[in-house]
Amino acid sequence: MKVSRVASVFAAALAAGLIFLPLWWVFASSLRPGNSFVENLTPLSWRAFLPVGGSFANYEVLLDGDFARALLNSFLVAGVTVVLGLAVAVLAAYALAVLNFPGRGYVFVFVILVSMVPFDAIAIPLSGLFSTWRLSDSYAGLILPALANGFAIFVLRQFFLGVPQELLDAAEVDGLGRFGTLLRIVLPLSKPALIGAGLMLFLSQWQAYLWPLLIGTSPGKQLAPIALANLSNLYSVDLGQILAGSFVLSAVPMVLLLFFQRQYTESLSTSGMRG
Amino acid sequence: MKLPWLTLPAVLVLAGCQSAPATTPAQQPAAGPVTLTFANADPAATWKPVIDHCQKQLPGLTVKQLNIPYPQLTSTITQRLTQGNAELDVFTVVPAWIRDYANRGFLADLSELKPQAIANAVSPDMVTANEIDGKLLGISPWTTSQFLYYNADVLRKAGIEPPSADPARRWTWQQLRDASARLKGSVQYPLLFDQFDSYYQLQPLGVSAGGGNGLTGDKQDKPDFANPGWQKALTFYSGLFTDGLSPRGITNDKTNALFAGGKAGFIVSGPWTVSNAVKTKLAFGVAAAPVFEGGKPATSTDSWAMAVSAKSAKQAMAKRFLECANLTAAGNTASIKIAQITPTQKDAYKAFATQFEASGGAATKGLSALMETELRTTAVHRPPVTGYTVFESEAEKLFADVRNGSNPAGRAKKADETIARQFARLG
Repeated sequence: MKVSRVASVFAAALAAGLIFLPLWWVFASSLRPGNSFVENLTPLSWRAFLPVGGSFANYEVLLDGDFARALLNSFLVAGVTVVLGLAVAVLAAYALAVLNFPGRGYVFVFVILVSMVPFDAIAIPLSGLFSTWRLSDSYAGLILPALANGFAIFVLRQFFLGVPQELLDAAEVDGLGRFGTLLRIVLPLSKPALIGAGLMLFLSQWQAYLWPLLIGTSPGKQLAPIALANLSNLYSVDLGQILAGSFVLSAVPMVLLLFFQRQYTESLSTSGMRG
Repeated sequence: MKLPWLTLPAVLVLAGCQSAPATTPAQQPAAGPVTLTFANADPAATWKPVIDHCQKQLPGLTVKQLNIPYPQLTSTITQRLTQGNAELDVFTVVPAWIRDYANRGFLADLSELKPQAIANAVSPDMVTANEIDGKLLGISPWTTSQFLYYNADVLRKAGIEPPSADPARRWTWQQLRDASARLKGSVQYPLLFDQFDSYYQLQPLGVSAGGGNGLTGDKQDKPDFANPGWQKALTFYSGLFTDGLSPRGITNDKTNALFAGGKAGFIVSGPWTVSNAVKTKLAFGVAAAPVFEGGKPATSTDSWAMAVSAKSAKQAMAKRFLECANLTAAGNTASIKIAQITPTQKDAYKAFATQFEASGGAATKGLSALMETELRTTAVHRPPVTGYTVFESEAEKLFADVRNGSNPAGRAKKADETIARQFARLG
């Protein structure tokens, strides 16, 4: 048993290391000035994975230009989306889980079906509508389409279904209205689901590329993935800065997941089974 | 029933996020402040100096940039203009795309600026390359050329006499291949192209070998990579990889860095290589781009052109912006302040060429005269045909396959058939 446990731990550590290795290479390379990381790239040398002789110059240059503003825009857009998106998802999920109204099942199926339609498939006609509504190149234009997230509604609804009916009945007897019950009873019990849904909303905006490209690419409203892509143009490419930007964009969701991994896993694994 | 009340804060927050309503074309005043939207594929800093300059020169003008990543520029502009987006006033376009854009009615006629543009250009064809059916539809602020760069230390150690910067004594491609073969073993990559497999880079090989643009017919509407000239060029290209003189697995974003890092003997590349090599303190030299023996010299050229949207309601001011940025020495100089790309306005060009030649010290001696000769006499423009993007895309697949070992004759025939089918669909 002991040997098999050691082997399991070793295998898990090896798998984790291999998964982490490309990101580590990105980090190590981003500490080398300009394009000098290619010196150890062709042929690939073990030195490519050592962050030696490097500096944070790429990060300094990167965070002194358009990318810094784009990064702040990404935080703003993703943050507002999480707050407003959760408000929408919580209310929709609560209605679908607790309220009895005719056609509730159909509405739920409709929400799920619509969430299955890839956003990219509707992005171009939608961008035309947004342009007509004068929402191009605005924060509202960047945020609005991400607010109604079908998967977040699904996760929250499944979680709410697991809240014991007795608790809800007791709250009603005590005079809490439906909104009070949601606010004081259901939501405090649903932190893992809220964190899970919030992370989904955050990631949907953090990694968005097509929509920000269609709706807002002025320096003032540009999001970080677009600013990162703009670091390579027809005649020049500073790979050191691109690697630094890639690392920053990858590290942010990783750090978030690191902090909230338990709740995130719980939100996905216990949906519909709590009670 | 409580939902509307609950969503009120969201509506208020979003309303606060929304930018102020833009002025509609119909409301645009004839005089007074005008805001132009200018879409390009560069970081905002690249165009800021020329925008600042022109805003000072043209009181009332404000230019707002949209910085779209290069791979998505065409699709994004097409999407916005197809939807009748009148908010896009000026955008950058590769001259070869101009006919496709013109066919879709995207481009305003700039012919009124043609006499001034011709008078100010380093070479008239820099202007006429943006003409379709006698109408000027774009103006190029920048241009490019191609040279043969070499690693001086590597050549000295191998006992190879460096190629000459004198265009009359340019090497043949065979000479370059022979010299590269002698570097095998002493340098990791004997010969690199700045942009492997790109039509921009390889068009001069086909032209120099007598194969033309890869198109034939009065209207240049029939693909022709199977002709003897292109077969000669493709066979040469294929041989570089078969013989291990050029690498198969290197992507184009790394070629310049590899040369500047001392890992290559030669690179065929544009003016931007000078600053990269100077930065890494590489001992390098520059020579004229090679030619096929018995063929005519040919070098890649062109860069972005600026165009005015036919759907813009602010065309008058947009044309004045183009005039300022492209046809005045100060404006054109400001446009290259960050990008350091060759300008097209003749006075701006003179100043740039002097500084460009000085930037590399002894390594770039004679480069100014060489560049001017290439721009005036050997530059080949990409053909602005209907369906250019399809043509270029298929040509580049052909080059990539040949690089990876496909038989040039069979693969070129297949490419011709594919392009012909695509052209037929486009009418």
